[in-house]
Amino acid sequence: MGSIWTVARHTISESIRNKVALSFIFMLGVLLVGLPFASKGDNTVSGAVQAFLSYSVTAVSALLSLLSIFLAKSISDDLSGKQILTLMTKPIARWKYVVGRWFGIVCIDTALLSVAGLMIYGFTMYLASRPAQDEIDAERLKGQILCARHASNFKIPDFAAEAEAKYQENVELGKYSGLAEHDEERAKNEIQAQMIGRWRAVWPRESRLFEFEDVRCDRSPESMIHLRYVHHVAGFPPDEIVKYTWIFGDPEKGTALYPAPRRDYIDRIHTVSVPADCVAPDNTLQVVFENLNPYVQFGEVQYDNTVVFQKDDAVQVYFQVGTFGGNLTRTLSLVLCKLAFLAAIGVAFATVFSFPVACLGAFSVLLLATTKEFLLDSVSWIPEKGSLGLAQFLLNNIVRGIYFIIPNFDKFNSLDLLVDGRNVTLMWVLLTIGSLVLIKTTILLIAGCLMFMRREVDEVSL
Amino acid sequence: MSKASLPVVQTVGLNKVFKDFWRRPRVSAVQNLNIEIKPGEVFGLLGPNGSGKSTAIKMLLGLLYPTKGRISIFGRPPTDVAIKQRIGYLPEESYLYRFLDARETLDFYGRLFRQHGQVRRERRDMLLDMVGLQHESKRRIGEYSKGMARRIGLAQALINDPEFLVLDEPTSGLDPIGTRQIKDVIRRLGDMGKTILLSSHLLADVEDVCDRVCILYGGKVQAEGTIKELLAQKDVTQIRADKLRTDTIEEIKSVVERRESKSIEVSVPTGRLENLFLKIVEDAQAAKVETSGAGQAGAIPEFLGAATDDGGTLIQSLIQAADKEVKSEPVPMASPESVAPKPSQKVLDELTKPKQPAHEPGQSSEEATPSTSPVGPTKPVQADRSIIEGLMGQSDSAAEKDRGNG
Repeated sequence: MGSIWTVARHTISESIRNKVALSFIFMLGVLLVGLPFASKGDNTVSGAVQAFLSYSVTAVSALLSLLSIFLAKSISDDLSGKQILTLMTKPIARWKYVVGRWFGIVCIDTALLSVAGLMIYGFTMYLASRPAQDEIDAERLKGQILCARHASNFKIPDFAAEAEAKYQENVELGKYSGLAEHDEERAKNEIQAQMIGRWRAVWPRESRLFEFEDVRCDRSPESMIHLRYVHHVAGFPPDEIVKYTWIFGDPEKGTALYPAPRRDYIDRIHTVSVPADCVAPDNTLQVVFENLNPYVQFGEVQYDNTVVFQKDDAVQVYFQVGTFGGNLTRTLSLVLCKLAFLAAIGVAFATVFSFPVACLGAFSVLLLATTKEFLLDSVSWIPEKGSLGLAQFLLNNIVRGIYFIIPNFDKFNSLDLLVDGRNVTLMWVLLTIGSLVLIKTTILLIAGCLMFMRREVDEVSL
Repeated sequence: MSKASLPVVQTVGLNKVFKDFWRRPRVSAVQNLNIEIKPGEVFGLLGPNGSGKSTAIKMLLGLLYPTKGRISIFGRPPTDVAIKQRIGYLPEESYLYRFLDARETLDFYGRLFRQHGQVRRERRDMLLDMVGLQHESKRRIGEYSKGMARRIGLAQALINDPEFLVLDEPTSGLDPIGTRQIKDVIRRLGDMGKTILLSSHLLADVEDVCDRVCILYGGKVQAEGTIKELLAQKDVTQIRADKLRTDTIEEIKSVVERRESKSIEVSVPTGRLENLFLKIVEDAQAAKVETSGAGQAGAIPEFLGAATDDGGTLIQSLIQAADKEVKSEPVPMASPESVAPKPSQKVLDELTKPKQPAHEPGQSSEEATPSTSPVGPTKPVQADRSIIEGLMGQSDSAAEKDRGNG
């Protein structure tokens, strides 16, 4: 560890003396100081805070990604400047030199990210301290942004038994007898999907019970829980408004009951906040949705007033589980994991290539990692087996092979959650450390070390 | 073979072929190199540019891999990290970090040897003193002249008190004083029992310091042996004497002609320009002519094995050698101990005399303030360039006067 730390220290000192890190610190400073005053959002305080968080974390992440790649040039510089000749005659294993360089870059990233994190936190608090536009703005800021909330999805009822019964009924009615191909399992699944689809649609004057489990919140009346929902309506009401009531609580379990009548615009995200004592002691929560829109109007049945909750996350209950500071720390930890990976990419390339080539290679990986989902989607049409020849072979084996090692950076991006005040879980951070740092970064570093150990460190001109 | 008698370096059938991008053989840099360097030996690798000296050295250090053949350093392969603890290397250029200053440079390399803070700092200061960079230690290496960079390069090679020192063109870029100092360091390190591999195309360097040499050309060994073996002129006899009268010379001539039927050549020997130059500079230093850049070299640090009570500073040995050699033709260099033991008392007195506090007119107090401690042999005093400048300018008369007195 001694030699690794010596090289890491040297890398830190080098980056400061050569003004690489300093120039990035300057850029970060300018950005972070300027952004709070430039962030307006929707002209509410909560909007400005969300805009600032979004821009600042993105900018810090992007700048430090560039820095991580640039700093890896210290290895290329040692090779081209031949300082490596002096260095490699000292008692330091080559792998320790490579790891030391990487570790130095990660230390610089950590230091800068910490400073940036403190600045982001400070400026967020500064923005939040400004007078809110109204109570909703203040409540949104406090309860939905400057916090770490856990989101729990509703439980979809199990329709397996009913689907089975319906299937048997269909068989008895001979609905499948005329079909050339009949798959029993598939037919049952289709029936069950139809039943779930119908369950998601709440007809006028009907109600629907949404059950949530594992709502581990502070159940005191002072504490609040938030129901976040988005719905569609079968028809398009002329005023774009639907009427309904949410009723929170379970009388059988002795919880408080809170009815929340609403008149909301359709196709938008809405939030209802109620005291947390409507949650049962077994951490379950019942919420009943009553569609108050008329069933019959002008002598006709109004199917158009059917409210549909299409997706599994169409109704979610949020409750606070942590602080904004903790959430920001975990978000920046995920950023640091990405930076460690990028530093390893840069270092691995620099052990073989000169600076411009290594830099270009590392940037390519950054691009591929950022657009992985999109690019994999673009080749997903190609069957794994078939007769497309070389193109198929290349796309299936090389592209997918490359993507085995290149991570999907979107999976490690928790910015949306941070901005939305949703909890970035510690488990997520730990899993990212495991998969991105301990596995993929280590693989890259081992590759870099092996390449560096095999190569001659000097080119002799005769 | 006992462990003590194991050669420090042994190469067997060493070959190095450089290949191009397509892996086609391009240049055969070293061919069938077989050398053996014994402990305590100062071994010279001699050859013109491109003869494969540096390639051979880099293979010995594990920086390049041989195409064929075997290398053993202290009985281990050169890629073994553990043996690097015992090796010091000065490359053909001082490839150091330009953004670090001299102290930081030595500190960095000292850390790689896992030296503790106190030891590291002591060694650093002693080495800076030895190479005459104590006063320039806070300047960035990037601002150093080539000669100063060579000096700090040598210091970093000695930071670990190496048993085996590899010096590739150690005197390149150095002025005559620097060259002489480095050669003296090499000689003295050799005397202390260090094994040294010296590569150079400067014949005088190798001749002055090496016990044994190997001459390379085209990557092949052309000759190998001790300096004495290689340079002996067995068909010539040389008689040296103090100044003789003309009639005595004539008589000797007649005796030789009568007995051997051979004619003899009689001439007055001349001193070496190097020694004359050194004498001039030393006189200027004694006269405390202002200078900048590398100062005078100090003592060999104690940790390298120098005796504490030998008073053996480089300046003393240089003065001793120059004082004697300027008067007569030197024979090939002997060890410093064999050089005339009597130091030039006048110069030593000058060097050890405390500086006068009086200010010269028009001189700033900072410029005129003398060193607070007596200027001893281990204290770097002034640097070379402005000594020369001083000699060319206003100090001419003083230097002339000193020389006249000397």
